[in-house]
Amino acid sequence: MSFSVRAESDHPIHISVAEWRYNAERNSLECAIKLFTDDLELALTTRNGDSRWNLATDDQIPNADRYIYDYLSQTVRVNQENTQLTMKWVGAEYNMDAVWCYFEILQFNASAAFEFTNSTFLEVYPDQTNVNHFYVGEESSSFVTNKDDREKTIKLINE
Amino acid sequence: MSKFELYLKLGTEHILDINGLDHLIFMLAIASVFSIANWKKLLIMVTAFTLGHSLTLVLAALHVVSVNMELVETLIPITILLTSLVNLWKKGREQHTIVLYILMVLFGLIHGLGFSNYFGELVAGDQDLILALFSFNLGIEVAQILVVLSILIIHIIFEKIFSVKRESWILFMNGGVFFLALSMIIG
Repeated sequence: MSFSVRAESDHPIHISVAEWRYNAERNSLECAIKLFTDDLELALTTRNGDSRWNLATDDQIPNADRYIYDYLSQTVRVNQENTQLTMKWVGAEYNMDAVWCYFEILQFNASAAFEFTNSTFLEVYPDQTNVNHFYVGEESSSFVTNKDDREKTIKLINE
Repeated sequence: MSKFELYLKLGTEHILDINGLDHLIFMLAIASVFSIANWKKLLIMVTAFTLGHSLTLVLAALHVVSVNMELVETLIPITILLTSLVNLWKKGREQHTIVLYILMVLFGLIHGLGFSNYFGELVAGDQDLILALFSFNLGIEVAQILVVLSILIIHIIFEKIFSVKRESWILFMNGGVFFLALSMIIG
């Protein structure tokens, strides 16, 4: 039986969770984004006009990673000093309920301010809430992006 | 913002969500039979509900429970329907308080199940799980208190200014809740 988290729910709350972690050893900003599988399929369908995704099943479309990367590179962006930083695709983990997508930004300057945008799924759900946790060691701070507020300016390390 | 603020906010939004009216109309039914003089009992009712609700969320976050959503989504409006029926029948007469508190915990458990898969996914892997659970449930409690307080105030306004009798108020509120719950079950 296929199982969708909120298919029958009276609470169709739309949310994604992104965990951003500064890796001081590698001087990189690592990003793990968790997206509900049904939301992701809807967004991919809306973008590509195709609906044969079958994510996390035996019939999963070939190159699913590619489609997801193309989509997320439109919705998740990091800018520092007026330059868009390259988010390198690391991979994805597919589960029936949720898909985890992994990126990293190499040679990241943690002591300079940067802007990040996370407008994932806002084009399909106006009530989408994207939660972003930023971790530096044990410290964390959290930011919500939504239709009213797609972009945040933050600084991870104050010197 | 801190994680505490974040989950507190998400908890209140969960209750005040205009797309998920089940919580609001349940609180409507619960608060309709109370007057401001009985606020302590109402507060215990609300807190008992939050306790039940948070217990299922804890179990969900620890991946102890796995839920048949269709069953839960039918059970939730049934609890609302039953509450409105009991209110219409009792018309605000004194009821066994302990029984009510236990029922509220039970209903809280059921309502929590409707949200448990989502919540489990929201906090899965979060290293501050206990903080997340605490602040999310605190958010739920705060929002519910705001809701029942608003209903008590509206009740006072209707009673004092429009001279609406208590029985008419209970009939009006629970009649509305009954039909809303019924439409949730059928629809």
